[in-house]
Amino acid sequence: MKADNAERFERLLIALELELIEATDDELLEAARDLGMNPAMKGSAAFFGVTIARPHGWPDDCGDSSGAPGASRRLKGDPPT
Amino acid sequence: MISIPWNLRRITLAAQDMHKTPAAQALALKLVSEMDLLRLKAIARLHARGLPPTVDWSDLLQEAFTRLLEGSRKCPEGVPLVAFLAGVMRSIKADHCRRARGGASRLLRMRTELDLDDDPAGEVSDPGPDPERSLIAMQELAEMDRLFADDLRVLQVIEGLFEGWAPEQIRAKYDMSKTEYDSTRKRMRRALLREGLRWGGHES
Repeated sequence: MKADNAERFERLLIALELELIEATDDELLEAARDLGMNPAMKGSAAFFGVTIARPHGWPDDCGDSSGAPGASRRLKGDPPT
Repeated sequence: MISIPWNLRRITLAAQDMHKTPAAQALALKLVSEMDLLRLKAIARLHARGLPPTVDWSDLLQEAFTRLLEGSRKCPEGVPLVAFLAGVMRSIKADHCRRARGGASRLLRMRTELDLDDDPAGEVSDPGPDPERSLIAMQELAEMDRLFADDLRVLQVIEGLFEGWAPEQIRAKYDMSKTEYDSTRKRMRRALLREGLRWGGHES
């Protein structure tokens, strides 16, 4: 019997999860650099929601840094975009 | 220079620890590296797709670390911690979805008991595969397709993975060499990492 769409989507997510587990440090750094982030710097935006608690009033979804709170202000530790 | 008394410094450090996120505590305990945290952030974002709006990727991630630190979930020997935590996040997500479905079915039962619905049988039938879950899944898949809209090869790999095909089947179906398949996966990984590391609170 063919799995329903929800099950098939979960299967896709698990396959993509494996891809992310296998991602190398270099690939992570490249992706961060694409976003103008430098994870090596203290307080990097890459760690928001991870090691840095999300600020009060965190937006539901802002797509990229352009909509983020304080986006006009460069975060300490991140290079200019 | 003002010297801070030893006790005060210790109290200050303890207070700082209390405010650390569970992920930050795991990092301080050297259970994970910073790169592992970024990997897990991207994975949390991936699994947050289709979650009820009251829960977001950061909740999934921090809850997984909380369970690890509290010892309610133990990483089996030989299993890499990132893979283990990814599994814990999936399990937390499944719990949230089950609860959301349970809430919806309780509401339906209440409506039936209160005779608010026009169902003449007056019973709640088992709908089988959840149509709402299925719809959300298709919306999320469409969202993912948009992410890769300009890369046909990635879309083909995504379709194959959605159908549960093995890499060889995907390559055969779309006439892809192994090199092309691998480079497609690499592009897909990079886009997923970018999507996973970007700003934003709740996954859309």
